[in-house]
Amino acid sequence: MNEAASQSLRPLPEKPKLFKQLKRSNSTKTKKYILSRRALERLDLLMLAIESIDLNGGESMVWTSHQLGLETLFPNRVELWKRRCHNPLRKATRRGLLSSEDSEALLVLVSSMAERLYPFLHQLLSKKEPSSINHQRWELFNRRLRELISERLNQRRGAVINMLDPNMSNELYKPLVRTLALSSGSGGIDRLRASLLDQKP
Amino acid sequence: MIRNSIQFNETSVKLVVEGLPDFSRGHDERTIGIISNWKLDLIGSPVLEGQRVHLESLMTTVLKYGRYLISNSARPLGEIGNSVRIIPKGDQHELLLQSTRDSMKTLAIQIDDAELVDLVRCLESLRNDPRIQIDWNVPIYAPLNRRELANKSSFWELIAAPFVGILAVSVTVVIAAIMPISTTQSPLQEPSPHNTQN
Repeated sequence: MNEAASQSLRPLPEKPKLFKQLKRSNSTKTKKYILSRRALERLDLLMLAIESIDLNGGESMVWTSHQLGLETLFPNRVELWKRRCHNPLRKATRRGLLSSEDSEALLVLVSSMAERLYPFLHQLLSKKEPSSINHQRWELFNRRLRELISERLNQRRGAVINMLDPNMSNELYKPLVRTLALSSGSGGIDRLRASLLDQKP
Repeated sequence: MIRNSIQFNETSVKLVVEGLPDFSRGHDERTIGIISNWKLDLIGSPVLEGQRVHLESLMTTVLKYGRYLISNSARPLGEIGNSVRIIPKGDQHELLLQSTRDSMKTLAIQIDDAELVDLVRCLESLRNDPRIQIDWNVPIYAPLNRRELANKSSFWELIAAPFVGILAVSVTVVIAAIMPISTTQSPLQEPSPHNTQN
């Protein structure tokens, strides 16, 4: 999947355009907000899903963050990892909540990565693809995501046990892919932000 | 007469919007300020056409549906009698389009997640395109409240934790209240037999 991913990844728009997008989304459309622990959990899972599709996802995220002008916030993988560790389900979890700036930067990053990987997300979600090929794609994605979850998340937590259950994985993983697909595109980041700020169910 | 046409393409959706600049609002020649016609081509479905009102109705319904779907709370949208309705159907979505002509039956189009996302992206591009200067009456995205979420916790799940907490405190208080207090007096208060004799 990774080789194919590198062949048909969508190139990111030119840097100035991305700067403008980021500025607009930071200044006019959003107020300061704090993501709940539940939202941070979801955001980190989306990033794990990105890494499952793009095997070199960790590096791609750092590279994309530099392209987006976020190098002051995420100069390297460690800084990015520190922000992601606010997910309460992580093995090495960090206390406290993310600042508004960090949260917005992570949202921009997820949305941009979703845009780059959109052809793959489309293939995964499409019913028009041959079913055997689609089944193989989902198998590969599920296996990779399960591996990443068991490697990085605390397996004593009930939510993580549920995620690793092969019978539950289809129910849990497909919405992740759909969320990523809906996060891409011009209004994707606003949709994703609004969904992460939903009230606690 | 200047007639502009702008096309939005996704893998399975093509949207073409035709219109004119509104010179009274200071638009340049390449801008569309008045929509005269639009065409939506969803692969495997008949080509849809209409006026601005229908496009706006389609945008409102589909973008709102996309907003609910990203929160895993898809629900039927668009009232009966509306030109556009969308209903979740298993792992697909049914788009119901009512023609303004009385003789035409309601058109039902089944779309999967990928096609729906393509349609959402197309309509979003249209909404955010600077070449189309139209004040769309489409709601902006806002967080959903508890009532709108599909996977909300039940009443019992919500009160379970506080109930157990209150019960635990009450039991502790009751046990503490019925526990007998020792009645032994302190040695200072007890009169010693030696002192009384003296």
